[in-house]
Amino acid sequence: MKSKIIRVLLCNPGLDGHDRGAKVVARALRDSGMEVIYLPLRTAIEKVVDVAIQEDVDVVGISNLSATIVDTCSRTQALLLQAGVDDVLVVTGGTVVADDKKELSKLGIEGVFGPGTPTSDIVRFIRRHVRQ
Amino acid sequence: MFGNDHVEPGTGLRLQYRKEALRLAKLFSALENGALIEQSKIEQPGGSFTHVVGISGPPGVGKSVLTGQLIKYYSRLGLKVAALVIDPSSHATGGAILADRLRVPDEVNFDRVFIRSISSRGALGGIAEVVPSALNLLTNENFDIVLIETVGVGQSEIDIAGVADTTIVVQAPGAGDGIQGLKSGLLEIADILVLNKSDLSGADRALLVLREVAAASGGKSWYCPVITCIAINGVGIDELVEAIRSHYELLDKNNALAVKRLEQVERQLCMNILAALRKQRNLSDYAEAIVSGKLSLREAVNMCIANESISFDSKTEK
Repeated sequence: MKSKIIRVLLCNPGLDGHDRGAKVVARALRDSGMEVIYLPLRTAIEKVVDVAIQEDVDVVGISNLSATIVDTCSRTQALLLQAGVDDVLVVTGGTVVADDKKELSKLGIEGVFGPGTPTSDIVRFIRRHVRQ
Repeated sequence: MFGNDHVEPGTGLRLQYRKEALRLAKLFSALENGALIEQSKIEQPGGSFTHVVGISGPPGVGKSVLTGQLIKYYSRLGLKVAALVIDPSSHATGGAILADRLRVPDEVNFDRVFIRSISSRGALGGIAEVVPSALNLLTNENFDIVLIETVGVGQSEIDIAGVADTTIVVQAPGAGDGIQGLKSGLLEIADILVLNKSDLSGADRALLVLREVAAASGGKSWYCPVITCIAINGVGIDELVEAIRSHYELLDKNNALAVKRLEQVERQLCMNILAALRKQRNLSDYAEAIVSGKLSLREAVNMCIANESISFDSKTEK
């Protein structure tokens, strides 16, 4: 049996048009030995869920630079659960205010990586919390 | 209009498709982690084979965009389409960025389409080891057409011909001789040649070169067509689809598909025998014996096959 490689889906749903942060994260994850499926900007949540399922990813990373981060994460989780997917780690990053962090924590999302987070932190978090 | 109904988000039908996709995706992952799937569907000539179409060519010619357009076209026809998009893994870290899904047009109805990004995972030649088993899986699942888009460097183009029924090689106008990354081995395996980005300067020259090459490879029952495309605008896709269909028809008529399947199964047999031997024999013992002069290569091979272990205090004598 080969060792299982961690597969991560990175996306930028919502209307924001910046993805430089996501690209930096993508490279860091690849350099740590993970496979990164990278979706284009402004991908609809429904598509993100479709792709997450087809690619059987272990992690969904949602990059969000607008104010809708809690709503986006909550919808994504709900749609995944509805389809029978309960083993995906959802992490998020971008500009996240303290209130949102609290709300995300209530959803069970602890991996929240704001600007300036060292990519090594993200890698470590994923390795520790991913369900294999 | 196209008969492929738009499915409302969150409704029962979309959910059903997702559950189906989940089942398939999990099987796929099992394959990537070492499980094997045999082809259970016995295909008869004249019956519906799963058409495997390989798309290869050097980097930068627009393979991903072209694949995306084909996915869109076939899914609109109501066909069950799968696409395997293979990106190279980093030799140093084993990781990969799989970004070919970026090129799939938004309008593609994901409910009829299964797209999987595959990392070559260090496989020599760029065709991930999982591909033959994956094709068996997709055939068992009654997909009408499977598109495989490959890395496009090194020997992978040649390898794709070993798994595809129809091999498309994509080129684009380049500097100098008019062709980007022209390689003779690559062109020999092409069943269809595509000149993409045909609106760029140098296209006329490139077209001439490709036509010459295609003409030189004639004399068989199939004449390799050269199709000009501007994939990003959908120009030329109709002709390409027609050429693909035409090639499939020829293979079907000559019973060539059945012959190809036999060859592919033989190749799989070979691969799996090799993998089994690697697992069951201690190859490093034989290698040491060769290096230290105790065995010749031929002796080692025969001993390995016969499963004779090496005793280190004796030296075989002839």
